[in-house]
Amino acid sequence: MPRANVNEPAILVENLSKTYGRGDTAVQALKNASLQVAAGEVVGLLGPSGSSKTTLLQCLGAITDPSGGRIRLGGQTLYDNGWQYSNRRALRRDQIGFIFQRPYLIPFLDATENIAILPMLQGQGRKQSYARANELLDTLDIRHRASARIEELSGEEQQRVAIARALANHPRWCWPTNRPPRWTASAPWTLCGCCMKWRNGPTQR
Amino acid sequence: MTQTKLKEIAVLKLIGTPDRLIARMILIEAVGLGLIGFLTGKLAVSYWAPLFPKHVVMLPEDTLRALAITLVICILASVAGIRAALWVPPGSAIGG
Repeated sequence: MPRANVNEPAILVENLSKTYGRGDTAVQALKNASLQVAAGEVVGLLGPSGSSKTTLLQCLGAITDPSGGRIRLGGQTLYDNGWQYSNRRALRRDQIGFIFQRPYLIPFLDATENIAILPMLQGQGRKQSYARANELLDTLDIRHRASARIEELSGEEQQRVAIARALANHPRWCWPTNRPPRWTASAPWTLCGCCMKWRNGPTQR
Repeated sequence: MTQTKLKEIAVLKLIGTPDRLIARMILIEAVGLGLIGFLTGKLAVSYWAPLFPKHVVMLPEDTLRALAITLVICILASVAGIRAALWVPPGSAIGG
């Protein structure tokens, strides 16, 4: 990857485009989208359903291939009319935390395992990974449900586990795509509260 | 079985699980199920045989041959699952 430029914004998107399909059925979801986000800034994308907010975040998260444009994260080029980062799966695992509208947890793992899998995939030991998972379960106030299977958790609890999983590897960026269905602004474990804590709290690796 | 778990596999890929680990999980599941089936069959043959009027002689080498055939079938069957798992895009976990 090219060297990082420390003076650049944390997220820089230039003329990003994304077209789904081809020919007469082609749909241009993104057309020359540009965006700059400074380090430590929490930014919300607002727009009606179908306005490609999720598509933009999927491109930023190296999940969906853009059709053109440029993405730089932390001063490093991620996409420049083609992916510049060879191991995008490792990028997602180590540096980006995804929080989706639905939790998308692994049903055959319990709550702790769903969180600990991230550090374990990164190569951390089992003990260390479970310690990190328990720390996040404490933060999100669901330690008492640590060994519960996913189908035994309520929707709120599943969402909290999903937030914990997103933060498990101390990601540099966090993409919460769409607010969780049960949004309670005053609760300390809300998406917004977690993002602020994540931004301000210790993120040492 | 893999076909019914494509969504979970897409989630695993989304959070960074390498392909070789996913392939290994599917292979272990296929071989494990094959071994459970083989052992169940072997126990049934051993303990229920006296209940039947006619007997088929199974030598130890026949048992080993049956085990080898079971494992080969399981490995071949897992190839289709592994192919499907490696093909599924991570973005499919979260829809459009």
